[in-house]
Amino acid sequence: MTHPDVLALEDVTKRFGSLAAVDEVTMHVPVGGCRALIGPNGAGKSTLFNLVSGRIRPSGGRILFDGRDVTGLSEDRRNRMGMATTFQHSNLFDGLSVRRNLELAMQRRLGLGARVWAGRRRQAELRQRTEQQLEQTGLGPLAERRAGLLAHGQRRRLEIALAVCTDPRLLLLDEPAAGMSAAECEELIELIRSLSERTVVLIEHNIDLVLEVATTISVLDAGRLVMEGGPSEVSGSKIVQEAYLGAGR
Amino acid sequence: MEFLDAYLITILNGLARGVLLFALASGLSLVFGLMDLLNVAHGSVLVIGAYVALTLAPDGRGFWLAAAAAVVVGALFGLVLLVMVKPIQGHGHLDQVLVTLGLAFIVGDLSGRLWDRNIHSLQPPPPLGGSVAILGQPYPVYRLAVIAVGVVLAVGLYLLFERTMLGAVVRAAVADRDMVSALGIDVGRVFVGVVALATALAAFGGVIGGPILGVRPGLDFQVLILALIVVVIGGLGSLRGALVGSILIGLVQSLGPVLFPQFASFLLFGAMALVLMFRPAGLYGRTA
Amino acid sequence: MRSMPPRATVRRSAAWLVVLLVLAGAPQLFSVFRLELFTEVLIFALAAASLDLLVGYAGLPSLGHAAFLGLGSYAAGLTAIHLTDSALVGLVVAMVAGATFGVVTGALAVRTRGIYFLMLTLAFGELLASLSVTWVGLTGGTNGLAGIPAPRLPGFADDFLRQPTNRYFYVLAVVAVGFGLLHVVATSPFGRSLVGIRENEARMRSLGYPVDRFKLAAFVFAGMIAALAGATAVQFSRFVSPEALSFKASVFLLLMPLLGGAGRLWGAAVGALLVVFLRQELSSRFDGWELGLGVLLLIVAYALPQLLARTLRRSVRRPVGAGQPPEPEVSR
Repeated sequence: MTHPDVLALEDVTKRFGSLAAVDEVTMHVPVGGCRALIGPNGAGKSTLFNLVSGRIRPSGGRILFDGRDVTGLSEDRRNRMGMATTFQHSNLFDGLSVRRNLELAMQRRLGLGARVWAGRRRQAELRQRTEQQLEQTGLGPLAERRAGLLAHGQRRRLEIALAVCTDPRLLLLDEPAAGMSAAECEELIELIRSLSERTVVLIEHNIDLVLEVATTISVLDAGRLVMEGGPSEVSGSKIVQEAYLGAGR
Repeated sequence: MEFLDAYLITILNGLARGVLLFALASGLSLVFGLMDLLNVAHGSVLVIGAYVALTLAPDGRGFWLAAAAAVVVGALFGLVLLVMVKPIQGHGHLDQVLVTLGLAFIVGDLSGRLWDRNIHSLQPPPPLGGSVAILGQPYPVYRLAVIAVGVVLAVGLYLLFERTMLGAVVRAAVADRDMVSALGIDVGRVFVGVVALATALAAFGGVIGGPILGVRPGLDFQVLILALIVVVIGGLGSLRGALVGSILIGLVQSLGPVLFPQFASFLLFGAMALVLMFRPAGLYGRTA
Repeated sequence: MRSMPPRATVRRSAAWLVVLLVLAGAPQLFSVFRLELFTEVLIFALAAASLDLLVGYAGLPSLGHAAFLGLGSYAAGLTAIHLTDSALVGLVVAMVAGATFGVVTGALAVRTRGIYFLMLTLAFGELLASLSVTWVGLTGGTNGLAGIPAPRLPGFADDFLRQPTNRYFYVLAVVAVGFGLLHVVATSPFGRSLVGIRENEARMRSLGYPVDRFKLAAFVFAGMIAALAGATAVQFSRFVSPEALSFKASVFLLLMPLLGGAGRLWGAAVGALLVVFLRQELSSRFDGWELGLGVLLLIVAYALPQLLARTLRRSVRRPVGAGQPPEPEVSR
């Protein structure tokens, strides 16, 4: 039985000293669709992502993935369960080629990561699936280029491709459009739309992009969830305007 | 207390050793915390200090002159170290280890040739050469003096780093190098100062340690490994950690062979393993 | 584009042919003394290659790897004295000892990073070394373990391994097997995972790799192979002393993959040849070779990054498919 909520946060809190970066956030993300997480700088969005992905542990509350309590589980365990995250600043294997980057992600997905021996058939499958992934994300022509030499937009694309490679049910994108041109943003919107069978949660400052792709928007301010609703609700909301404009308090 | 009766002497020995370790480990820890530089040649500096004392004051006369000379030599060594480490700045810790280790081997070899390969014991300065009765047993005054010096050192360093402007600058630079730079302070000069202080301290430790340890080839790595253990336990970059760690290791080294003769070597590393299991960054270390 | 330009292939094949010829013909080519030295090179080559798996592939710089080498020697030596003089049993016991030490120390060490890892491995090596000195009853203390009987190889005459030529080929066979195992692991998906961990550990975690477990596996495996090399060493020379476990021995060992080119197993072998040769020359000319060791360390630190960078630019242009060795990059 698949639980209706792919991700559920219950009173999740993270304190750094006396500062509550995330303050008793309760959020439910149902399967499918695209949830956007917005809010002014310092609202705690990235901290929330790090809590969900497992990079840091919460001071309080629970995190449930597909109904299972993952609060105490490590980041790599959560990824194996079907949750993938991208980093805010592209975190790639700069010294390896694009192909090798994807291969590393793909071999884990195919269960080959720990094998000290892979026969011809498995090697062929790995190569084939990596090739597929390269084509699907439009990185084919860049396959042999060193990841460290890619342009910014290409790096963001590889970043997302790596996360998608692990075949996640839940995909967390941390500011995927950062530094992208208008054309690249269009491509990104297409990409996100193509991921519709998975559930996507993204942090974004680009409000236009958010209004295009998001089915529901959650607004965070000073660590608290202040509003949740559809694009039209949120864009007209006074609370949201205050959160952004009144950020200087 | 019977325990105290039986082991007071050993405890005092442990404290004296702890002081020597502190002279070494404090500098090591500071330099790492400030410059992210692990100086594997630090033990060699201590030994150089001891050899300087051996040359200038083998029988204890002119001890203080020797100490002053050693401090200067130590500071100079620090400058040489900085020069040698400059080309590999930013290359990572392994390269630092390679360079400082290379320096340590070269210095070790050369000092073995310049002096000889026998064990030398230094004599303490004549006024401190006698012994005093503790619980009915004679105990060298010198070691008590070393403990006293240790207290002065610890207090002095504390005052320097917690109560002076210079100390504040150093602490700030440890926390955020670039910020301090942005404030218009020449961080480079701070580095030079701290490194020179650290190596001067190590050399000083070698001089005052001379009468307690035996000066011989191989001493450099022996004390280095102990200092490394202290720094790992205490936490890289923490002066307080270096003090606590030094006293702890000094006591373990003294009491260990007496209380648990079979497990003496295990105790040291066992203590380290224990600390690292619960505090991977050391007792007072910063978790990066 | 999987085939390389013919000239490079011919050169590579020629080089391998020369190596094979030298290895096969060594007893004929070398004097008894040089053959002994050459055997020592082979043993160190295996140990250095195992260390390369840690340093060059996984990015785990260990300052205590000689401890495994020495542990293997002591384990095999003690087996021969107290248990059986069967050579193969000695090898197995050594590997088990190495793996055990690897698990116990690795469990703690791999949870640490960078500097702490360096120091922990150093400390564990020192622990084993001091143990070998103080446990005089078992190990003979500073005088070393003597009176080790010549190993016996089942299926051959009892005194088969007493002859220098046969001993050499025995070592060669074991070293070849060891290299084979290392090669298989290094070029496997697991080997590529290790490279990934070296390149970007955080990324690997986010891709679902249980990084600590992988590091531990690499640590244990490398330790086991080094112990194998140590066992062969003691079966060859029939003596081992605490020196073999010392910090200096670990530094000596670490130089080999670094000099020869970290990230390529045969590079470690080249490094072993260079370092052993240098030590031999320097210590016969001067009294003790610490000075040489120090200078060598400085050379590696200052000069080699450039050499390394140049070799990298060549190899990156070669497309890497499954089954080929991962890029030999080392970020120190």
